[in-house]
Amino acid sequence: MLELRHDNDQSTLRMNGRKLLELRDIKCQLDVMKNTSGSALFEIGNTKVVAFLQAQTLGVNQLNRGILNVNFFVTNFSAIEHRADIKKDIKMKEFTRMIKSVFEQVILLDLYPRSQLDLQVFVLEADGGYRSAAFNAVSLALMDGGIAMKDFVVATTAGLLGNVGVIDLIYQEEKKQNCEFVLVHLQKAQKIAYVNLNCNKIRLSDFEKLMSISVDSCDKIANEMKTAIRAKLVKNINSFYFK
Amino acid sequence: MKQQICENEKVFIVDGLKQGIRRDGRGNLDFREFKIELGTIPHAFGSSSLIFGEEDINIICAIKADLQKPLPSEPNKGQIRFHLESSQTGSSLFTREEQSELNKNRLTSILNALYGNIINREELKVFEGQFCWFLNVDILVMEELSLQQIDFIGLAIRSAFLDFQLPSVNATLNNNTGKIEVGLVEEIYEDQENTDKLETLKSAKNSPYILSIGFIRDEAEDVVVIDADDQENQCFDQLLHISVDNNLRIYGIEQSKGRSLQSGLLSSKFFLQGNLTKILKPKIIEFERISQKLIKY
Repeated sequence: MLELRHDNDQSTLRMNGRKLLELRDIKCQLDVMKNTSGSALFEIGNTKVVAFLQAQTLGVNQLNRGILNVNFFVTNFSAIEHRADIKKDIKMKEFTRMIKSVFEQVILLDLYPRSQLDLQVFVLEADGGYRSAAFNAVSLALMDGGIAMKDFVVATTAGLLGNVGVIDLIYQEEKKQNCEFVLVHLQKAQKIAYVNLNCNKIRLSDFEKLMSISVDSCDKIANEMKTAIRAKLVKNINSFYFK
Repeated sequence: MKQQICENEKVFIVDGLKQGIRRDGRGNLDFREFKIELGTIPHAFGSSSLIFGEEDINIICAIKADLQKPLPSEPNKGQIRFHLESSQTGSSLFTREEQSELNKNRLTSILNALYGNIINREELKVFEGQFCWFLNVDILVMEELSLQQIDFIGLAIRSAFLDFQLPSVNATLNNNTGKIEVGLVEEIYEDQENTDKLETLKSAKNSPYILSIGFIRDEAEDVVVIDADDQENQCFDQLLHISVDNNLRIYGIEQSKGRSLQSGLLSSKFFLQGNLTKILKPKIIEFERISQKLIKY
C-alpha cells in the first residue's frame, strides 16, 4: 500500500491520496440540537461525532461542587460490520472514564454548586480516529454551552506506517499498522492531558517523532475549531444589534 | 414517561379533546410536523434520519445486511431484527435505569409484532435452506424513549427501507468441494471502474405505516385521537397501535393501554361500518404523497 522512495519523503502519497502530514477535511457545527444546553457536531473525513450537554440544577446533588457525568456510545451502525454488543465492551467503559477525568481537570466545577452536567457523546460514523474526534466534539459542545473552562482541549491520532510517522489515520490504515497513538493537548498551557499508545515495540526515537508530529497537528485542528466558534459568536452579536 | 400529571390536568386535557382542541393547536386527527432525509449514513445499505415535533427530536435509522443460514422452520425466508438505542442517561441521578429498560423492551416488542413482516421476506432468499440475507435494523433516538415516538420510529424505518439496496448475488455449486458458494454480480462499464450491482426491494414500496390511536370512552360518542404526546397518552382509556399499508390492509394490531379490548369498544361503532377506514384513509394518502416525493430525490 505505502511505498516510500526514501524514509522521510514528504511527497509520497497515502491510501486515499493524502500526503504524510495532511489532515482530512474538518467540519465543525455548533448548536445542532434544540432543547440542549450546548451541542456540537465534529466531522473529520468520514468520521462523525455528536456531543451534547444537558445541564441540570436540581436539589439532588448537595455538594458545593458540580458533578460531571459522561455517556459515551458507539452506535451499532457506525462501523462497516454490524456489532450489537459494543455497549458492554470494557474498552468503552474505560474510555468514558478517560473523557471524564480529562474534562474534570479543565472545567471549573466550583462555579456550579448543586448542579449536574450530563454529557452525551455519540459516534455516528467511525472511519478511524473516533476517539480523538470525541474529545474535540465534547470540547466544542462545552464551549457552545458557555461552560467556564481553564483551557482549550484538542486531540489527534497518529501512527507509524513502516518507520514513517503519519497523522489522522483512516480505518484501513489503522488495521494495517502496528501502533495507535492518541494525544490530548491543552492548547493554552501547552501541556499534555492524556496519552494512549497501543503498540508492539517501537523505538524511543519513533515515539519522540510521533509526539512532535501530533502536537503540530493539534495546532491545525485548533485553528479550525476556533474559526467555527468565532463565526457563531459574530452571528450572535449581529442578531443582537440588528434586531 | 417523563412526568406524571395530576387528576385536574387530566380533566383539562380530556375536556379539550372532547371539543376537538389540543394544547399545541392541532385537531384531534392531525399529525405533528416532521422532516425526513434519506441516505444520511453512507456505511449502511439503507438509512434515513427524521426530525419531528416542537422539540426537534432526532431519529436515525440504518439497515445492515449479512449472509447467514436461514432458520430450519423458514428455509426460504430471510430474517429481520430490530435494535433500539437512545440517549438515556442510565448512570445519571435523574433517570431510573429500570424504567428506561422497560420502555425499550416495550417498544421493541411492538416493533417486532407490527413490523415483523414489513417487507416480503422471501425476497431476502439467496439459496433455499443454505443462504439468506439477515437484516439488522438499528434505530437511534436522541431523547428518552417513550410511547409517543412509536409512529415516527415506524416512519423512519419505512423510509430507510425505501432507500435500501442489496447487492445482487449468484449462488453456484462448486464441483470440487460439493458446496454452494455465493459470489457478487458486477456491473461492467467501458469508461469507469466496475462496481457491484445493486437492487432495490420490490415490496418496500407497499410496506406499512404505524398509526397509534387513542380512545376516550364517553357516553355520547367515543373520542378518537391520533398521534398523542406523552401527557395525552396518560389520559386515554385505550391505546392501539395499528400497522396499515397503502391498500388499507392491516399487518398487525398491538394494544399498550387498557386492560383488554373491552366488549364496549369492540361493539362500538369504531370498528364497524367503515369508520376505521374513514379515519385512516386520509392519513395514508398524506403519507403516500410525502414518500413518493422522497423517492424522486
